[in-house]
Formats: sequence, structure tokens, C-alpha cells
Amino acid sequence: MGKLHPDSINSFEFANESISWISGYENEAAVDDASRQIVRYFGLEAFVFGALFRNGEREHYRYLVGCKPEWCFLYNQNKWYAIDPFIDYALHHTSPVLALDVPLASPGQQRMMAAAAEHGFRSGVVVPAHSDSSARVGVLYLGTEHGPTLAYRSLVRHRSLMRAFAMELLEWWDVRLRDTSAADLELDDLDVDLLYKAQNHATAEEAARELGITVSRAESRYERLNRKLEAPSKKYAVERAVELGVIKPTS
Amino acid sequence: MKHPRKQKARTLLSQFSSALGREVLKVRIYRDREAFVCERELVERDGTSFTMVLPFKDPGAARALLAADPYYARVRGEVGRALIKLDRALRDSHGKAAP
Repeated sequence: MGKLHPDSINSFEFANESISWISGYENEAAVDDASRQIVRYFGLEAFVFGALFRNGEREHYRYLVGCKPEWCFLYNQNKWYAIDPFIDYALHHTSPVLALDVPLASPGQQRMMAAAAEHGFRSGVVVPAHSDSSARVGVLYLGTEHGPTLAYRSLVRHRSLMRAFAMELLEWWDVRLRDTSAADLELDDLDVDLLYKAQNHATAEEAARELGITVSRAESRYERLNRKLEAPSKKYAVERAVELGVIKPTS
Repeated sequence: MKHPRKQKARTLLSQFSSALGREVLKVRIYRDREAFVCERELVERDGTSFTMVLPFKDPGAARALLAADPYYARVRGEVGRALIKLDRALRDSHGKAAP
């Protein structure tokens, strides 16, 4: 477990330190606890951190929920991720922004925002996170039940910390996903090496030669990988492994 | 022989997967040291997935959480069985921990 927190964060220095500790936390509960304290230091009450990953035509959204779960259920049920103006903003920008300043282009987006207001996000700040080391784009939503003046003041005062917070969450998430996926699936270094070879379109024979193992061992490993990753072929196993963060996508 | 890349820190306590028309709802509950995490994933027909990650410390929170799911009425049986497994896993782990 990472460092122990006191009940509240009461200074810029401590907030900065708390953000830097995120990378050391061992599970989601610890990150969630720390994040709630950081969000309170910002003067806000709720957060959702989303990591978006596109794999071909498929999209994968993964959200750490630091707000009323009902809001995320509603968001998911209405498939608002498909029209979420903040995801679009995060895909194309790097600066934190007041949610109010992101234009709404459709009645669906207006409905989404009206519902958000009823679930702790009456106003807030949107913080994109991009990292060279991550195939994902992060978007941190910081919310309050109060009006936009509070969110504006928070953004002006804590802009740099908000950026750092979103980046740490994205990087923690990436490492966590890679480690837990590999551990849950009981993959070892050879499995990962074989997946990378398949990603580079190597045949089982080529992979075996390059990794110094027999062809039959490579083939049986690929069969096992297909089963573990619930994939009908090596190609889909590679896609699934990328999606789970076990291997990095090709750049 | 190569070792697994990481020691398994979390344990899968309970899970279910349920087809709901064109979508599949998957719920997994893990124990990770002293905490728990519920992953609730909805996979659409085209492969798009939406996963909510909800950490909790009190196992009772899992019940409230899953009961709030809009699909609860359709997966009530699976949720009930998953929670029974969760309770059993917790009882077993407490039993093992007892002197």
C-alpha cells in the first residue's frame, strides 16, 4: 500500500505530494481513496476518470467511478459515451477546461448534461490526459453540485495540479491493467514475447526460431493463448492482448 | 523455466456473464489485499465495451451496487448467485485466517 493519508489535504505541497504517490498504490481502492481527498482539496466533490482505447473500429471505455454509481449506470445505459462532448474534447486537446466552455452540439448532449447536473456534476472541470507511454486517452471529470463559479475558481487555482492528477491516473491505470491482465491470465514472459511476434505477423515457425524454442512449443503456446484470451485465432488474440494492455499497440 | 510476469495479488471471488439481447453484461468481483473491486462490463454486439470499476471496502456495498444496476431485474438470479459466492469466499478466507 502507498503512503497513509491524513483526513484531509490542506496545502498545495501536500496535494502535489499526494498526486505523486498515486503511482505507488497497489489497488483501485487505494487510488479511489486518495483521489477523493485530492478532489476535495480542489473544492469539488465528485470525479470520474475514464480511459478510452480504440482498437480498429472497436472502442473500449474504462471508468474509475468516484461519484454516485447511478450516474455511470445512466451514462452507460444511454450510450452517452458515443456523443460525450468531453471525450471529443479530450481526444483533440490537452488543456483542462471548464465543462461549461465545451460547446454542446446536439439535443442528446444537452440531455446528457441535464442528467449529469442531477447526479453531482452540475458544473465541473474536464482534464484530458495523453501519454506517449499509453495507448489510451484519459479524461478526468471533476464535478460539483454547485454552480460554475466554484468550478471556475477551482480550475484557476488548481490547473497545474489537475493536469498532474489526470496524468498520474492514466499512467497508474495503464500499469495496473497490464499487470492484472497478465497475472489474471497467468501469462509469462514467453507468452508476451509470442504475442509480440504474432503482432509483427511472424509465423509460429519464425517466432520459434527467433525465440529459441521448438515449433511445437510455439504452436501449443499459441493455442493456449487463444484459449486464455478467448480468441478464435492469433490475430484476435493479439487484438485482445492489446485491449487488455498486456502488449502495446503498434505505433 | 520462466515465471509468470507478476505475482497474483488479486483474487477473483465471484463473476457472471449474461447475454442481454444484443449486449453481454459481465460482472467480476475481486479481492485485492484488504479491499474489493467490482468490474461491471457491458459489451455491445460490435465489440465496444464499457467497464465501470467500483472499489469498495464493505462487501455489503456490492449488493447495493449491483441492485442499482438498470439490468438488475434481468440478472437478479446471477447477481444472487454471485453474491452467495462472494459471501462464501469471504467466510472461507476468514476461516483460514482464524487461529
